[in-house]
Amino acid sequence: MTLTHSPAATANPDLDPGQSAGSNVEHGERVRRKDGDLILTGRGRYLDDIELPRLTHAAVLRSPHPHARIISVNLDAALRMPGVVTALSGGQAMPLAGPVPHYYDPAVAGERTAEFRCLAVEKVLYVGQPVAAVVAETLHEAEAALKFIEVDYEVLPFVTDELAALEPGAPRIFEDWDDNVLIRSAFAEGDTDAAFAGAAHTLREEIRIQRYNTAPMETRGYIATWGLDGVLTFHGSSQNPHPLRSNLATSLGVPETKIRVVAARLGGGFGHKFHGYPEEPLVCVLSKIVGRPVQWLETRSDSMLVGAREMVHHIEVAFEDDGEIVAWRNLIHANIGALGSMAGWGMSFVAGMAFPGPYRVKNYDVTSLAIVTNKAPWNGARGYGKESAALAIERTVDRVAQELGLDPVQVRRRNFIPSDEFPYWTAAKRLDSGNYDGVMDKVVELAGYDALRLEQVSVRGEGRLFGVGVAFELTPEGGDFPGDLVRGFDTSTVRVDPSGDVRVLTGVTSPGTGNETGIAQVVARELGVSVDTVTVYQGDTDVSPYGYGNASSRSMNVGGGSALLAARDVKERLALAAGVLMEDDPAALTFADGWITTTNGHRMRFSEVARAVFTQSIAIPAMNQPQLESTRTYGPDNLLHVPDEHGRVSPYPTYPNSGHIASVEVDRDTGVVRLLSYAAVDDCGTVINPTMVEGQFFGAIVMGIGGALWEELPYDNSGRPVAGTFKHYLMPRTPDLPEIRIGSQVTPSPFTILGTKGAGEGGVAGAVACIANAVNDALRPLGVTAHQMPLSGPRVLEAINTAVPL
Amino acid sequence: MIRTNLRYHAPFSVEDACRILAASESGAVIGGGTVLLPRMTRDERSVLDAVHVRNLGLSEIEQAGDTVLIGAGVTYTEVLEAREGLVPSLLTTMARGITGGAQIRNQGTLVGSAAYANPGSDVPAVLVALDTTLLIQGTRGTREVRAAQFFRGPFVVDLGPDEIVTQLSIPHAEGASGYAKLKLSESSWPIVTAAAVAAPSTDGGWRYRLAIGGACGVPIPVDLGFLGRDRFELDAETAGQVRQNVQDTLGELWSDELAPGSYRQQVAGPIALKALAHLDQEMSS
Repeated sequence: MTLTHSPAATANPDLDPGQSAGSNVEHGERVRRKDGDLILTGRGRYLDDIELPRLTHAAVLRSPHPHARIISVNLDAALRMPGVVTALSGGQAMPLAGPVPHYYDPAVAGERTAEFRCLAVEKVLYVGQPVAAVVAETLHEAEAALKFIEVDYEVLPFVTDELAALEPGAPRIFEDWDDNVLIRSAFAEGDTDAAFAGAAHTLREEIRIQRYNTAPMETRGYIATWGLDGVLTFHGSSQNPHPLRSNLATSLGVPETKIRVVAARLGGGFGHKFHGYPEEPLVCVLSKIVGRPVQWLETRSDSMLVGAREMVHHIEVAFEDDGEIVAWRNLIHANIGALGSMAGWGMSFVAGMAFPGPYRVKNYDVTSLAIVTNKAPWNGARGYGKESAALAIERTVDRVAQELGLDPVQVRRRNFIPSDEFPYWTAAKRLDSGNYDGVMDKVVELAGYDALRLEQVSVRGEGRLFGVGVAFELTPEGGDFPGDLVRGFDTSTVRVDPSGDVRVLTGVTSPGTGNETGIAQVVARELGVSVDTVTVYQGDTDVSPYGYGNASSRSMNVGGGSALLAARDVKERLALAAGVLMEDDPAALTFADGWITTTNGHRMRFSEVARAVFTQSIAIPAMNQPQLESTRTYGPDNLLHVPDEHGRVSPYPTYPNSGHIASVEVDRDTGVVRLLSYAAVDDCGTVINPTMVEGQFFGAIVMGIGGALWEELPYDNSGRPVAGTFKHYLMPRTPDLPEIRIGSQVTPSPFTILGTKGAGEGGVAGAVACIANAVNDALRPLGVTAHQMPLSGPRVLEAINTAVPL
Repeated sequence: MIRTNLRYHAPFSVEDACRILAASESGAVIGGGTVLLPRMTRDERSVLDAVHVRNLGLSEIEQAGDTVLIGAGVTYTEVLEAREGLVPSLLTTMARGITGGAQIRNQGTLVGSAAYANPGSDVPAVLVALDTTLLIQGTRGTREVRAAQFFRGPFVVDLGPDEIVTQLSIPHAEGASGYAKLKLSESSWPIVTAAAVAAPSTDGGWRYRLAIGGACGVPIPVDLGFLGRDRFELDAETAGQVRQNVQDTLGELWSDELAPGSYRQQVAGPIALKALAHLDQEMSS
């Protein structure tokens, strides 16, 4: 694999960057990542590197059954095992910890909900659910003791298929529900039935995306320690330390002031490290019992229990002769497993909300059903339902082109929302800005699209299956969901020391993406100092302001935005002081390169002025600014929860987008797909650090490719997950990938202070859809489609086998 | 984490190794450990006594008359670095294609892979195609088993709890070879492998052998008698016959989480033809 970047950034001339790029500074500098050397040289400390005195180790006994009643749990034999300090059953844990609070409780949205304990008490709902735990001196001893725990189960009927779960007689996952549907999310505009009735053409498809997750290099882990002062210190590989602290306080019945959560450096987050897991309060309870620090580390097979994305789209599209799409109808069945307290179920909502993507389609009727089954629960996964929506949308756009004999690029252009129609409303989104045609122009050029089509004619002439895929991705980002701790704003403090060094304390965290470097750049530019003098503090709830951590590509929008506002406050105070010291108008001063310069050329070092503020502000009364610190909270302007006159809301404020073109060859004998070329252009608004953005875009594309072709978490007929290692769950490796060429376009958001829209998540959805379209384009000469993801060799050959022999 | 109180042994004689295994409630031989150790860590295999072959003097590749002897400790890298002509080209081709990086090639052993008998690994079909004999030693003496009989089923081999495969004995009669495998992606186990050998016969002609791995629980030798002893031409008729013979030979199909048996059955023929195409190419050159 080769990664190349095309420096094609241009602003949309139709938009006024000054309207949004409120910092009045240039952006886009390729600053080296602040902790890059540390990570590359193996000196970055992750959760498992934390060494605490008298540390003990926890192991968790998990249910072997997909659905069973727990009759009894006997810990006696396990407690007698060497090194064992304690063991705990669900019944014993009940008085010590309340239900695990939901990341986002469906009850807040007015829907059903369920309670989940750190250890199952009466029933287990999926293979892998925690049933009991052991704490021992070593992990070896803790794990060895697990097999001496005796659990008596009454095995119950189970259901893992979402359609079977909808049957009237299906086993009920939650006995107090009258069916297995958690939530029906509906999104509609216009008159879809009339549009279908009046359209020249309609077609219907069933498109399935498989259960798979994100497989971060570092799995989860937690360490809980109770101090003699009653304070709980919780080290965790978590993306959201403050909300986690709040929820631990609720679950454990401990004042929030008595809990400190420290988010360790993350080796990847991707949503897998959103909170809501049973092991979070569990380690706290265990540590309380043993009076020592307790560590729990997720195994790879544990991490592969966590599901995401499994959905079926029953989709119809209505269109005219010229390729105009006039209506969409879609019924989504999302198999969300046994719900849990994690963040996964929301993906079913987002998959529906994302319609109609980047297209100006005024009639649509989309319903998404989140169906509970006896599979392990979902957590967030990069893409968060948008990849599922993009797959369904983009496949049907390609099918429209195919039916009409039109070029798929042309059909997309026919339906794009024009640049001059932004902000653009859909049922549940107000799209901020965009130049989709511009992105498409760039990716068509970057990919050499016309040449690919010529090559296709030639290769097809040899009887080979060569496909070109086109896809466009619209990625809602930075969501805000009232009623729970998933919020679209955040808070930062900027503090200048007497030395002139700058500290930024922010509520957003880094999953390993390097956003601390971007935030430091924003502050450094505002203050006119070197990035090296700016240190960003994240993840420690005793240090940073209350924040919502990392999710939905929000870090630069709200972490960078709030830091910018705070830096402006501090700059204002410094300017006042410098104006007094150099006898000039503060508003006329220039901050650059570590100097503060007057209009007549006098200048003082930034650090000199900072020191003067701390040492002379009382002595020189006009300065009167004895502190250089500000804390500001910021959220984008486009978070709209009060319905407008049409009843529309917009829980997501920003909408980055990207265009993708790939070519593939399918082996007719084996169905194996070989990826030949890949090009993509993204538009995530203002770019603070192109190197970071490109890195995220490359990674997202590769994650999308992996999901499109190989990654899967299947279950067998006995309700057990069968993928537990990377020999079962096939991740892309370098030889699987071609050169990936990327480009960029900058269309700033008019609703964020920096003009940013969010980078990190974007690319996954486009890649999934692009590969699906490329493979199906390759199969076109056979007259077959492959709509069950992933498009692995067996799946594609199965489709090829349905071809009617000529 | 390994959950047993594991005892590690590195004896200096095969006899001692066999005695340790015989005395153990649950013993296992470590060749390179690339499969066994992760399986123990994941609690898929419970072992009380792990016997390492590193001090047994079995890390040599030796010429012995018309055969080459490959010790139980010989790694893929050592096969690749063997002097030219010492090991059959089929082995080097196979070893070159072992993925997993230098860690696996430097540590993994051919004998270890054979003893694990994963249907989806490279080694079993190659050993069958090369008409390999496995030299086995136990507390009751030594014995020899041909590869085609050694593999009894998926992950099941003809090896007693007190026995060690000490060497592979491969007739050095390979004239040319071809190897092909189908993987779903770079990190995938092979789904189907095909190993083809053309060995010169005493009458001046060729004896062709073909073995298919991964399609069934054990490697399957495929009858290529219809090719005769002359140099074959891989035309449409021959290809069709090869496909037919492959299909006729496959027994109970192997399925796992990566691919169902029906898929393996369908792709076995094309992969066999790829191996024969490589063989044809090597014979031509």
